[in-house]
Amino acid sequence: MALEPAADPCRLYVAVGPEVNPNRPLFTGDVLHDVEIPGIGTTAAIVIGHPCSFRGRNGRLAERTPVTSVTPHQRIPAHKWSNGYFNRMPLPDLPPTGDFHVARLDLFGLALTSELSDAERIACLSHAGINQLQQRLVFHQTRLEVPTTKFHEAFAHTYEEADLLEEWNTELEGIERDTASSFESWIREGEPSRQSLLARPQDRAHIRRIMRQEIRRRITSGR
Amino acid sequence: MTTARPLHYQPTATTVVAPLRIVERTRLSDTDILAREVGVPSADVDHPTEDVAQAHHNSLRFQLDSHAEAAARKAPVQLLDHLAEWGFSWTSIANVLGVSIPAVRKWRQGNPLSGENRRNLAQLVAFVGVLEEDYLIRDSASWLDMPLAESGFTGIDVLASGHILELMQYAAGRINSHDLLDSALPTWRDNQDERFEVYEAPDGKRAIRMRTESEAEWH
Repeated sequence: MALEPAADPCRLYVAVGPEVNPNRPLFTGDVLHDVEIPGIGTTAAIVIGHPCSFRGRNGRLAERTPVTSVTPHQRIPAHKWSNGYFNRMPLPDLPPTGDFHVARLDLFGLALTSELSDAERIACLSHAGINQLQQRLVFHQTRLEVPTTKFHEAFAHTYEEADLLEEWNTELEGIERDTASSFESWIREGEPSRQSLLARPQDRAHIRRIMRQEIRRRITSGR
Repeated sequence: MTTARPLHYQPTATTVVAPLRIVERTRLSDTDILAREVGVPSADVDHPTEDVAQAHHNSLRFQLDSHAEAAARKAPVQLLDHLAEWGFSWTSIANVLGVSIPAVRKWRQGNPLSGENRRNLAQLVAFVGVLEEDYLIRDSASWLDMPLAESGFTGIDVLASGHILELMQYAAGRINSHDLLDSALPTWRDNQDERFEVYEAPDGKRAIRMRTESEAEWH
């Protein structure tokens, strides 16, 4: 087994530049402009914290969030990333210039989450991109090769929850005041909770369906 | 030397009676019935001839296209609403159609689609119709989210790879999940690594760990 080669931008990012949905919650793999990383300076940065580690109870974010510096880099053929450059994560075609960049996995620190929330988000990694970021991070720090499929199997439910929160925020914007809180309350309801059901792939469609029904109900009652 | 098996059922002398043809549902269209009839040999014969396989392939395509033509008459926003009501994620829809999630968001807001994207969107809706009406698969969005062959790959991955007809064969029970993945995603076994397992850590959250040697051998 080798690490994943660099991915095509269309597979690596879920959104770039103006496509980034401001209603998307701060999440692993978000690339932001001008972030102060203690000991490193002000730089573009990517969130590397695992969603389980920086989102606490009731969806509250921790005071600080793990990030690494993002810097311009010479373009390197995709296949070469499988067997080298282990202290870097390739970020091709990154806005605003569209140049090749890398996340420097050895230049990391804890940024203020409040500053990240206010910073301009220039890209969001896709599920596949987040899995690749995690694979390179783990290998860089521990020399352990973990297949990206295992990251997906273990954490796809957190990606799903972030997608649902983005949809909830977007649909209920202007109708509810604190949509992030109302989502947290709703997703934790039930026994077993809706949140725990997301861990089972076969139950995710059901949760999406009832969430959309709930959104429609709230839109109707909020008018 | 191998003995060729007959392609069709050969009645014995005592059973030469015109078989009663039972069509389960009167709602089946001619194309659905044709697809089912052509589908019979590949279920009964180990190695269908190329002609039979091609005829079967063509019939599935015909079955899907006829449903897609009907779906394409609807507005794209309506088609997306159907998929949302059925429980599809926007990520899955974007992956299957080969577009970005922001593109799907723009379509939902009424922005125009290219002809190709509109046809593909209609085909996805049609595919769900085929699954539910012809193959009696309930909750197709959930069915497509389920991992295949104990891998991380799902029906959505198969659709995204463009192997919709193979997925129809799987839905009809004519091929198994391993054959489906071999056909649609030939390198899928390369991604199976039995050295690791996902488990629930003591804090209640998921984590990854190495299997013990005996566990790995068992798998």
